[in-house]
Amino acid sequence: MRNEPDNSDLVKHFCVQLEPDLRAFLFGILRDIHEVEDAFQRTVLKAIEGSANVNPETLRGWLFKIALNEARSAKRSQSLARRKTEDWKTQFGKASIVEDGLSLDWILSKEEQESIEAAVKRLPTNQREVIERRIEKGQKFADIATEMNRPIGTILTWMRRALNSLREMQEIRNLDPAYDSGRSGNDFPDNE
Amino acid sequence: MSEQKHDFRAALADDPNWASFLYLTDELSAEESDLFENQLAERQDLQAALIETTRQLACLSSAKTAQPLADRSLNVSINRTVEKTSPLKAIAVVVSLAACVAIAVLVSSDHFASDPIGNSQSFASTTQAAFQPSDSAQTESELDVMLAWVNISNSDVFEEDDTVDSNLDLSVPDWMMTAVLLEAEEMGQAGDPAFRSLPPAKNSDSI
Repeated sequence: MRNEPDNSDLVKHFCVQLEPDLRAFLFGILRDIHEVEDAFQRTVLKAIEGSANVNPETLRGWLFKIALNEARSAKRSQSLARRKTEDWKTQFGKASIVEDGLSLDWILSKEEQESIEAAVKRLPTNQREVIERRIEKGQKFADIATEMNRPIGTILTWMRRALNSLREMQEIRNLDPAYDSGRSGNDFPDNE
Repeated sequence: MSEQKHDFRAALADDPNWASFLYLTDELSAEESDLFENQLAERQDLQAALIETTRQLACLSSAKTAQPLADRSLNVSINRTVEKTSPLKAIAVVVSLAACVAIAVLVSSDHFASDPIGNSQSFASTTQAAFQPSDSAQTESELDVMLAWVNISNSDVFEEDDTVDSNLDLSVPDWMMTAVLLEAEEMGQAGDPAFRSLPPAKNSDSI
């Protein structure tokens, strides 16, 4: 007997369940909300078409492999001019702008975004400054090192620690929604 | 640059979140990007790291957490200046300011206890003498405020009306003049030049 209807339903179920992750994954590769939309639709179609042979235990990995192939295919056909003029800062900055009614729920909710903003303010001063210079100003690490009068290795370390700290704070917040209140600014002191 | 390449290779093995960040912020060469994407197909931990770092970067890119760097550099330079300043000097400045304010308060309370009205000028001069602003614009502005307050409060004090009614009628009634003259005659002062200029006494019947 054919299992296709069951697998097809299972694939559809996984596509719906993993849609935010799949979209974020595609955006990380493509950096364009419209191309993400196209790539996601093609991913879902190909997944449903190939659902007959899928192993349910490895369905998640299989879906992401399809998404990756679609993204790399789209990336190869991206206009060269756009790739040269738009840096990552511009591309990620556009992600927060809703265009043509496309939903951006797959990035983060407004509540989580506010949580990240609060978390950045709790970082040690040096880490916060590196975050702001690299991400908001778009400065290169070499330039940041020169202006802050530090070795580039130190700047990279601070950046790395800042991202880890933000991730940990977000994980704690997911476990305890009341985490955001009452924390001081030296939760993660910077050890130089 | 070589430091970053070494960092990426190590991160790809040990720190997928950092490797994802380098990939997303275009820190990698074309070869390294291809290597990263090839690994994405096989590693679920790298897929999860890319998803999480993409979200993190999108939020940070739109977050309003930055203080303008110009302001921060100014604050940094000010903080560094403050750090270089001797703490003893800072304490001395604070103490002197506090003493000046205390003296001003004491003087003002004494003056208004003994002489609540008037002498505003002497109060002001006393206050000014007692409260010598040394080098602080803040103490000078406090003095101005106090003087202004004094002037305002004094404007409510009742001022004696020194005006004279120039229309006051000073003419003496005839009966009074007659009485004065009769009295003068009785006292033998009729020849007094002071009484010569007076009009002659009228008949007492007119009284």
